[in-house]
Amino acid sequence: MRRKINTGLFVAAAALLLVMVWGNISGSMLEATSDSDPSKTISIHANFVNFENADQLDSFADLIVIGTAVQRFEERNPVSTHFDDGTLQDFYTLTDISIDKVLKGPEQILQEDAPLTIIEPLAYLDIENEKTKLTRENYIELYEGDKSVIFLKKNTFGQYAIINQNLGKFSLNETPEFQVTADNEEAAEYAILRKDVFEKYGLN
Amino acid sequence: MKRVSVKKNALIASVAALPIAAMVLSSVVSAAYFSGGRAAGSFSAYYHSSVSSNGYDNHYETARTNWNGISSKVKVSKTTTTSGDPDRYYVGTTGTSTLLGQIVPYKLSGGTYVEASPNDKWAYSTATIYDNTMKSYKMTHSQIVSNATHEIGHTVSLAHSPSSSGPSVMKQGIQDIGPQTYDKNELKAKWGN
Repeated sequence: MRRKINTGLFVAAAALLLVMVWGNISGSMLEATSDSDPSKTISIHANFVNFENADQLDSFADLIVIGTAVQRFEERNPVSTHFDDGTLQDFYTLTDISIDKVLKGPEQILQEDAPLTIIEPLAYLDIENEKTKLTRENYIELYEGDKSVIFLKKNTFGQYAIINQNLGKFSLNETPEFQVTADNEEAAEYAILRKDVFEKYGLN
Repeated sequence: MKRVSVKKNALIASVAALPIAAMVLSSVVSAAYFSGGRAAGSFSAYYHSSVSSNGYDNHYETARTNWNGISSKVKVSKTTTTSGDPDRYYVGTTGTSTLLGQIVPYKLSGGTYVEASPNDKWAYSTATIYDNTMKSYKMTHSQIVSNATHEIGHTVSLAHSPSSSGPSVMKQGIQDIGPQTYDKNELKAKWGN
């Protein structure tokens, strides 16, 4: 009996250790996944203006919509710019979204036939001859077909860009994929802010 | 028989203790700095022409020297040459309306410098602050210096600080502070006193 208990303890301890080691290994990679091809992803650090609640997002945004990305990420238009010495200056992706509702901003956007093109702060680049997704602060792109509340502000060129990164777009799906795949801390922040946003706009 | 039983029990207890030790260890080493970065905390920085042409020499100069004199193992000097893999400072333009700055680490791969992850070992990094967005928010001199200090903090392997840290130049957003006690402690934790 004692032998069985000791063996059981040994197996349980070994299994727990294996799970923890595996968790640490996978935790060192980008944890949230996307609906695009499983190419390599590099996330760099960036300093953004950030917002903590729905009121701040609403106040700062120029345009708030319920919209849906109409293409897979691979089909969208990546943009990168460089300094005169070839160093990367900026990168982003032009994403087309169909608009279902305008919560704040010019209502005529709803009347336009063509999708609205917005900027997301990540892009595919060719790094080491491999198509690589370069992103900032682990930002994950809008999933194709995932209707979401999206907060946008015009850049200095008059184009709309997502604000607050992963916490500036909130899926209307009952179980948002981002919430399932993001790490615990980010998933918790997302859930809280999503609830706040949905309450503010009566989307519950 | 009894001796064998004691050894076996000791082995089982040791294995059982491993997960607990791993949990404690992971919480002790968890900190606001990257596991990657340069091999040493003392290196040079080159100011690209975009810094002076946009009028940000002073801002970067203050930001760079803000990180000196904290740890004896960290000193960011200025160089006028790009040889020897210095870090490079830029002032640019971005299409992302809320982006104030970023750093891109580079590693040597097959004889070419390529973009790297913050947790890789780098050869050097580039720090860019964005003139168009800083102007759109009407950022003051001290706020711009704080933004540049934040970015250079990343080049010495500091990550963003958690919300529980208290005042920190490594928090995101528009600030007008330099390295705080938390930041200095993290710098010393990464590189040594």
